[in-house]
Amino acid sequence: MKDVVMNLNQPIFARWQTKTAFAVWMAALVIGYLTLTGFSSTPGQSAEAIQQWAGSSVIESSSGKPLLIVAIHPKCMCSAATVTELEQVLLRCNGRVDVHALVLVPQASDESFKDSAVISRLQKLPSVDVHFDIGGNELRRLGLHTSGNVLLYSSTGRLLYNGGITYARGHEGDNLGESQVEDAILKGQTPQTDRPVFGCKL
Amino acid sequence: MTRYFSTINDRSLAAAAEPLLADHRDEIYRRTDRLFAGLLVAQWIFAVALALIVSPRAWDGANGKVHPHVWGALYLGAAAIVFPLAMIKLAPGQSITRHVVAAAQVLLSSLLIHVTGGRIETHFHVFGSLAFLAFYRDWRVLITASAIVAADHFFRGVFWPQSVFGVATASPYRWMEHAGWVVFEDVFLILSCYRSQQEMKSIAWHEAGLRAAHLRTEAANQTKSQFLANMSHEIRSPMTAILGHADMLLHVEGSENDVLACVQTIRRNGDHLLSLINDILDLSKIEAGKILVERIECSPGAILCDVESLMRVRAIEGGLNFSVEFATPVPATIQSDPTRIKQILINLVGNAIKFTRKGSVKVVCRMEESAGKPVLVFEVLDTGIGMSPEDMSRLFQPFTQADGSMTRRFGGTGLGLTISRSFAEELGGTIDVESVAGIGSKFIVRLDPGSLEGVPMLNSPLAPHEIDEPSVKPSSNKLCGRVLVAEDGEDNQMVLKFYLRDIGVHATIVPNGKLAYEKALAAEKTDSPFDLILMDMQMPVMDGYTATTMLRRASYPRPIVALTAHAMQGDREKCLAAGCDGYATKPIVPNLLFAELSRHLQTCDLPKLAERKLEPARESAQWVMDSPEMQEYLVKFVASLSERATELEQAVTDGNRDAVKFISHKLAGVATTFGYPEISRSAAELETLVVKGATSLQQQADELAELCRSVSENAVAR
Repeated sequence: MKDVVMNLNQPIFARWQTKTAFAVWMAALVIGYLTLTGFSSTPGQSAEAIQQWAGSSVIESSSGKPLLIVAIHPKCMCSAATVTELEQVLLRCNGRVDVHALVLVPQASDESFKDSAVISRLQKLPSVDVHFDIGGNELRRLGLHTSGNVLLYSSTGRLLYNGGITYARGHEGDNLGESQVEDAILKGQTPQTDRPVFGCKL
Repeated sequence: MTRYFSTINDRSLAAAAEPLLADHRDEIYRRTDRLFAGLLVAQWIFAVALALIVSPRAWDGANGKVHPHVWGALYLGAAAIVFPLAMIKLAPGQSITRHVVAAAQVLLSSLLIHVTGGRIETHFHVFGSLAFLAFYRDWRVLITASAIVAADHFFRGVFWPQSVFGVATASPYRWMEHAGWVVFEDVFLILSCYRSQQEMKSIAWHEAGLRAAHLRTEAANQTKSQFLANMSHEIRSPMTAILGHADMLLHVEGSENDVLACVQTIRRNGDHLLSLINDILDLSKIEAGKILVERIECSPGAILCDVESLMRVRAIEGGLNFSVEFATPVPATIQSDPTRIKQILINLVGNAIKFTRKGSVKVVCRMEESAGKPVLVFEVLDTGIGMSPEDMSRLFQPFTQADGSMTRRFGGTGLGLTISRSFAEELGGTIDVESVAGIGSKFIVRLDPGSLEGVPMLNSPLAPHEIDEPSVKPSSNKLCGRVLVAEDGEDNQMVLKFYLRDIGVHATIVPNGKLAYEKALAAEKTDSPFDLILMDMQMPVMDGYTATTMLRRASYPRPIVALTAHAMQGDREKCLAAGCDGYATKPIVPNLLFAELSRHLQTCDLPKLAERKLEPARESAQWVMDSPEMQEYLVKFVASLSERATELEQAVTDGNRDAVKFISHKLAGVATTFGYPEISRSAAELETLVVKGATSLQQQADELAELCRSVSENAVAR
């Protein structure tokens, strides 16, 4: 009983109550930040992508350039980060790739799915064709499950890249996926493994 | 600022400034705590709002749900601020609270950066946070915040470099670059904190100084009030006695003894009042910083001789042994102010005599060294009542004596030691006291003797003579011998003749130095030479200096005592240099003249003069009043004043400075003897003005003339 009585004459940080509160505080913060970081760095499901582009799609590639397809959920904040990184890719690979954004528009959804800020930004990008995929049939056909997933096919139709171009959910910034896409477009290099995709489920 | 602090070396001020500074700091800490309490909550709300704007929902196809960032902002924001808020509430102003706040602030930066998707712009929140934390003006808080930022970058750099550096391939030392920019800002903020602290110190010092000044002012006011209360008491007491006894004389018919008792009481209280006023004038000069201290060549031995000649009679009357001695060789001359030293010693010896019933009073002079410099030391030792340590602590305060009751028992104003200490300090010295109640006291005066280079050392005072046994008992002795008096003023001739006759000495009067020279040498050739020459130093035809010098050149062997109205610095030395053996001042103070003459003449029986213990001016006046012969002369003197005033005014109008000097010199020398010290003082001032070559004598002459006429007219009216 004696131990739980606060000694008011002690300096506040010397009291065991303060020390306990401090420890609990630190623990709560560590757990909170780890949880938040864990969420941000947990990738979505990668695409089961077609290895050789057959051309039987709403997306047509006839320019002889590599074909880049990016899956977009119009209301996912992660997509905004993907569009930002896509802008960087296009800056470096201007005119050397055909870019198609496949935007999910769920069945019976309202107009806001076609009129989001992300779509607006995409439409402003040069050499990007925006396709609204009503009901998500085409996305499913291409094996895409997560917003932000990028598929890159060579001019011969071979799959060069499958993965995301952001390093975490909704986080902008240079990352390995983005670099690999650029290298594949500019140098024809194929990465050894797929990169994780960070975004909302389609 | 540094110079400011380095020049202030007042420990008490520093001690007073420290709590003020601590209070000021505490106030700033608490105020900033309160600022952060609001800021932390605002940032939490902002983080949640930002999460709602940037990522309100997470999606699964067409289905949306609240985004984890929103929950994260809610939870983590609350978690981050709850502990610092509690600390601000429970321990405001404490160091730990500031550091917890600093930690929470940078954790909120991290949260904001996260919910904005790592936007580079949000990183500026870190720099803003550091700037806000600088409000504490405590650089340690910045270190805590910066350390957490550096640690966050370090761990993220190791485990998740993209989240902080934007690339997966960052150098392992990249965190140091980021931390370096934080340190870059810290440098300026820490400098700002340091300067701010210095300013706070400066303000605290000034405030402490102002408070101290305020306290001093209050204390001074209190002292002033106390002073006025004391003054009122001290002045009223003797004044009441004087007025009361004067009334008694007017209205009560009593025996001759009663009248005599009344007059003596009036005289005694008048003396006390005069002494009090003189002390107060000295004290007010000290307090006004108007003490004028000289640095002239003077002889410690001569000073001691003067003190001895002034005080020995009092000591003897008190039945005390009184001696003056050198304990070590003492320089023949020092650079100091003989008048002030004399005043100090007279005060200390006077006190010693006053508080000693039996035993002895001794003045010892010696040299000692302090910090490689010579120090002249006078010790006044007595075997009196002594003091307790508590008594000694109050000793140098104005109007206090060791024991409050002593003022009544022993008399005195209680200002003497205060004045003496001020004089000693002005002369670059100190007064210390050692005492044991019932055993005795020792007052030690240490003075700066100035440069002693090439000054010979003496082993005894200039005219040493110890008086262990009272060799002169004025109450039962007279002096014998023939004295040649060289004095030009008729007034003083009369006074001296009368006085000398009164103490048993036969006086032959000559009016100038030339006649004195001739008469003295002529007498030497007869069977009855003069035993002593009392030589006025300022006379027409031949002055006393010349006459004395000529007599010594002629190998005149007998003592010559100088008599002069000029109690100026160095006057004694000048007389001694001319060949005099002693020195007496005008106005004639019977006690002192008797003391001086008794050093050179043999004693006989029963002089009544030495029984007198009056203040000089009053003593002379009383002495004159006691004698019918002198009263007659007094009437003549008073009657002549009006005529002298006219002569004086005419001399001033004619610009005849010699005549002005002559008239004022005569008046200065004799007026006090007849009970008019104010005329003496005024005349002496006028004479000084003439000697110093002042251009305008009119004002002083007018004042003197007016005084003379006033006395004369009052006498006629009576």
